Amino acid sequence: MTPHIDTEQLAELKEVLEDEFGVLISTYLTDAKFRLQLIQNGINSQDYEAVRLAAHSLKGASANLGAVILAQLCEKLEHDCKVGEYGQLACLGEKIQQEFISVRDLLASPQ
Amino acid sequence: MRLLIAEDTPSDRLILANLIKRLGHEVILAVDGKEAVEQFIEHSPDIVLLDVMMPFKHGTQVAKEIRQIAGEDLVPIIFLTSLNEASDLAECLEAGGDDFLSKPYNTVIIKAKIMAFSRMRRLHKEIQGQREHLVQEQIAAKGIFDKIAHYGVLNSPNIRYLISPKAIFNGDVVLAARHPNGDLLVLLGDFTGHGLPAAIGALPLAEVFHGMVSKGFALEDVLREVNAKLKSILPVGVFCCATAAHLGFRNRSIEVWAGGLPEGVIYNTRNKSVKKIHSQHLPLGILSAAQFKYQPVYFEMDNDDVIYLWSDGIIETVNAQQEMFGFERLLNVFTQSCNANTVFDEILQHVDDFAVEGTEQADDHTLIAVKMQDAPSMALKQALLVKPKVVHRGLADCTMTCELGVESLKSFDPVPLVTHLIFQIMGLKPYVNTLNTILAELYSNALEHGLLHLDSALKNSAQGFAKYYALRHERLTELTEGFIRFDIKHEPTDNGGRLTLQVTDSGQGFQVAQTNLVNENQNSLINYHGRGIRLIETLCQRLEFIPPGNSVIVEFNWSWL
Repeated sequence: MTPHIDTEQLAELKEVLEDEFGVLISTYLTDAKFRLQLIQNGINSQDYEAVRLAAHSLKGASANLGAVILAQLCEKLEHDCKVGEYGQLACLGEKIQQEFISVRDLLASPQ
Repeated sequence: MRLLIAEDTPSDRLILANLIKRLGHEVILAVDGKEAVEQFIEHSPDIVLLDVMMPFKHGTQVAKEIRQIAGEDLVPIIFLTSLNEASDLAECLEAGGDDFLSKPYNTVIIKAKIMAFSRMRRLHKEIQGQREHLVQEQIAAKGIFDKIAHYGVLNSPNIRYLISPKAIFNGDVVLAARHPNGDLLVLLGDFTGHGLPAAIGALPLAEVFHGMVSKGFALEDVLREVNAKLKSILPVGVFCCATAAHLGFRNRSIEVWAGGLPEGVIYNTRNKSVKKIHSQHLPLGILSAAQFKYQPVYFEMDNDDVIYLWSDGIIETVNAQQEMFGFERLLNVFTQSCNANTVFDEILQHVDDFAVEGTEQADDHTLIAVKMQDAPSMALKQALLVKPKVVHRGLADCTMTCELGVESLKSFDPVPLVTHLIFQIMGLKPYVNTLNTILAELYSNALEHGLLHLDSALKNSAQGFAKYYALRHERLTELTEGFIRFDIKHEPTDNGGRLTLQVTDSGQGFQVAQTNLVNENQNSLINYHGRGIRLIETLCQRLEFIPPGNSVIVEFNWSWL
């Protein structure tokens, strides 16, 4: 099963960023929470363009931190918005929220 | 290296900034598209890393603006993207990106790409530097070139010209030089090709032209020499389209040879009519000396008539619809001008209005206009301006005789030779223009009237003028017997010297015995000898016809200047 976080990738980042690693984690979490809010609001108000942009941004940021599953889910959400398949958006939104919680817990724990 | 990172996702920005700093580069950050452009202007980074989807300004738009600001500088733009589809990536490149980086970022790839682009940038800078160096060299060379190619009498009050500033060097050349007798010879040439290879042929052309004209050679001799010279030095396929003209100020005529340039015109400023000058020859530098043709056309020119010559730049200027300016539009400028004196400027204005604004071709004009004027007095004044150098060596007391037979008369102009001889006499140098005029006049009288029996009354009308020269050519070709002899004698005096020139032909003369007194029969004398004889009388101290009129003696007393 794919892990929530690619630990190897994260370790590499920690090495590169040294002292700034903590800043990176908190920056990511703050930004991710903001994007998640945008996704939820967009789904509720059927503003699919807003959903697509937020999903795109969260996808890239998550991929960079090794949150592989979260990035994949965001990509699916972005793709559905792009091609106009809105049936699974609510369900996807739910999954993304749950996955984020797992990612957040892993990132928050000492590495 | 200084890199600009424009990325709106904070964590991505943080990671990339740290990765790049660790590689030893300076990082400038921007959080959206608008700020990206501002930061670019402020910090002029070497490489730009650009997120595609950013608030306020899309990445592709930012790329366009940066390209515009950077101008000729090479600034690599790398798009940052988590777009995965090939078509999206292609879109980035089409929008002006040089490459892309996909998320998640990989240190090794980032390092490789920055290295590659920094190498590219360095090469580009080197090329820019070399080009700058080349331009500087060309400017310096152009300064020398202009001194050789464009000196002479181009700044005479009756000449206006413009040389194309399109390239530092182009193949256009404009020359003007004064004959020792005050006449003006002009040449407009256009070498095939552009740049240095085209311009370099202009140097020998200018040297031969200036050198021979100032020694008194005829246009035909000058062009034959130029053609042979260019033929021998230019590579195959490079040649010089040219129109050359000899403006004779005394008999108000112009002799024109045209080879390969667009038609020029002779403009009558009073009735605004134009006579076209058709090209009848191959350009200079193509034919061998034996094949070279010299079949000039002659026109009568009144005072203030102007000859206009141009290279193809003006006629081939195109407008937005890709139409050429053309010869018809050019002719209309002449016929419809309200002020004949401003035609030169009007031509440039019309072409400028016609051309697409801001294009280079709008500047590619070479143009010369030469006005017919009462030049003899001017030319003689100019002669006296020549400061005599202190002479230590040279001819003083001497006599010389030179007799030309039929074959020589057909193919050789002795006037430059005899002028050159006189030139060797100490102290006579400042008078050489006047003496050349006298010699040329005496010689053409002996040849055209004495031997060829031409009637100078023919030259009183425009058609007659052309007929006169046609007959001259015909009769000279058919000439089977005769001679012309120059007897030159110089005796030094206390303050100068006395030069006696006698020109004798084998013709029958005009029976001075019958008409006896020159004053009473001025008209018959003038019809026989042409208008020039009056001029000679004013230039020398004694003019005497030896009966029956086939021999003339001229005495010229001079004093040291």
